[in-house]
Amino acid sequence: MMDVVSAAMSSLAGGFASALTPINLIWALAGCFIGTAIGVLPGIGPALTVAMLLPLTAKVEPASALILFAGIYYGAMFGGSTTSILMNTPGESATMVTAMEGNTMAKYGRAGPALATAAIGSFVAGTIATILLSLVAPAAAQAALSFGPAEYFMIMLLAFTTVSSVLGSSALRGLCALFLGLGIGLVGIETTSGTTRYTLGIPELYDGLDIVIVAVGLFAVGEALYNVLYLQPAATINKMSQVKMSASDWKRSVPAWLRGSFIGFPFGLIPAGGAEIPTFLSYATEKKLSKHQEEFSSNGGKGAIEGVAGPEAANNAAVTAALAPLLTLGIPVSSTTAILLAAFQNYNLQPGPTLMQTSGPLVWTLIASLYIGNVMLLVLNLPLVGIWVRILRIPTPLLYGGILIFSTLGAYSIRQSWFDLLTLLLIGLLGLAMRRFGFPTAPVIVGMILGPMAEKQLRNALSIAQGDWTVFVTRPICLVILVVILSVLILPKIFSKKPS
Amino acid sequence: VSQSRTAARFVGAAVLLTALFFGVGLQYVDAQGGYAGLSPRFLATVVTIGLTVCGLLIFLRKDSVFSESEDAATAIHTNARFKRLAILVGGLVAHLLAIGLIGFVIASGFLMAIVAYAYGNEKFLRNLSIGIAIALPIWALFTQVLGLNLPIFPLLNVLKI
Repeated sequence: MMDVVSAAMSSLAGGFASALTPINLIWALAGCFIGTAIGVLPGIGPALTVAMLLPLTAKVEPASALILFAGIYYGAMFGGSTTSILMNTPGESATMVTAMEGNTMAKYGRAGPALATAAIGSFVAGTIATILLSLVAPAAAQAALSFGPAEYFMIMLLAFTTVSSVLGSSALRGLCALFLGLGIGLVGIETTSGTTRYTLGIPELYDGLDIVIVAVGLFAVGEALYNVLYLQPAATINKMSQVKMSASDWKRSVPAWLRGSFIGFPFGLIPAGGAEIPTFLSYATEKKLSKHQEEFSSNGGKGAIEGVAGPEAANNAAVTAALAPLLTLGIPVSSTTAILLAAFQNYNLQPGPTLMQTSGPLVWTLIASLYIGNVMLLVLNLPLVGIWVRILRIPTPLLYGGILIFSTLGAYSIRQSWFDLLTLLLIGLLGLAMRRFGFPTAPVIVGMILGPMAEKQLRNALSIAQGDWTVFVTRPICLVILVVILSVLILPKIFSKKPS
Repeated sequence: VSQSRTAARFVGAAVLLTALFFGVGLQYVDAQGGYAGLSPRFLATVVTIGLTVCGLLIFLRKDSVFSESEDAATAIHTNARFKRLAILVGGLVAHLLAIGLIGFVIASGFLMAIVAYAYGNEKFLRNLSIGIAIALPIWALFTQVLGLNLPIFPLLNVLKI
């Protein structure tokens, strides 16, 4: 074991020597800066940006290009939290939880602490996950190989259960939102059979509804429509009283960062839905463990800082861990890592078990650049917190005008179609109705993203088991997850019946 | 409580209508099971059943749990509020109809002015300029740096043809 660790440390030292050269530092800084800027804009994610910059691989050294792409990948996660907190427009599906809790904090004058806990949490989780990636990546990725479709399906079922029963004040409304999300996820061509579902003969619907349109519609447009109806004259929006984190904020954030990191990392290793599941699970965990239940936005509170700290850490840990299966197995677990795989292939490099032997220095340079990128992003983002919170001083009419410009940009930039803008408006009206009647919106997003994936894994699991449904209770890992699901469903009911 | 029951009936009916949409659509979804014995109709059926059960439970609720959110409950439902909502929705509809003709930058300017108007700021020309001032650098970033296609004034191209 010690030999493995010392070999890893020695290789990592070589990686640092290469990553700390001035030219590679400039590439890392450029990547972090572009990534942060992209994360702030809804509708254009890291995958699209890396894809657009792929032609660079024809002109730039492999290490420099991969460092740039890794910087974009990381920076987008940092930047995504900023607009989620300030404007309730999540640029990435993994920052939706941040939007839920962080934006509520911002509305009650605590945008500064929300932004700070997100930035520091991302740094802490990114660093922990990079250390774990350096030490255990090959072994952990091998372990993930023992997961089959049945296990992946059960993990997704766990995510459905947790999200619909824990988020929001009513399990019935949570379930209703989940089924609605699953229904929205059905629209389009079903990938396994190639059959169309609920497209109504409209060609634009064959590819399904875009997740960015649904998320921005439910969150940002829904909120703009809701507030024009219900915003009180002395509304709490635009209040800005606090910029720095208080001692209590630190005390509540540190354990949440650590928990989030350790929830996010294992999920990044397995191809079961990227960073969305761990962020929602981390939120659910923080909500269960918190002594400040009344502060959570889903309980009508002013926003709980651990609800931002945990999910942000989980997001960054998962994003970092997702590089492990890419580098050691050649398996991309997210759209961005899929594009990174293409970047490797452009250099005639095939990620997989032999990459460490054939191009070890390159892999270790990339891992070292992740450490450097993390520090750069913290240095870039923390001083900007004071500047970002000033956005909230903008008068409400102009703020919502700006939010809707960004929202429509996110939808229109996908394929320059008015149909996407119409979909955005209709989803926005759905968001208005859901807020009006107290339905949580997060289960809609989770159902939409994970529904098609869960269906595919269920079908694969049953194909392998020749239609035998007992596969979900006879495989040990499945059984353990099933017990966890039942606990999530039953335990809260038992505890709530106890007299207080 | 009676107002809450009316709300529950309304929401329950809406959920049941959604379930009906998915239920009716089932007949157009392929029912071939394949090796797994699981057709593309399976998840659609689960959604239909799930929404039907949820819709019925909401529709039949007798308690006052199904109250509206606090902001909504305390707000005074005046015609002025709904007029503002109608202006905002109208602004978004006008934006989606016009963007293909007048381009992203000018359409965003008008969107800003209409949204601000709906929120009570009636300085239309000033807000129009602010909207254009915000949209112009975004347009430059997307088209010049990121290489995305956001036509500045598509109507010009149409007129040339």
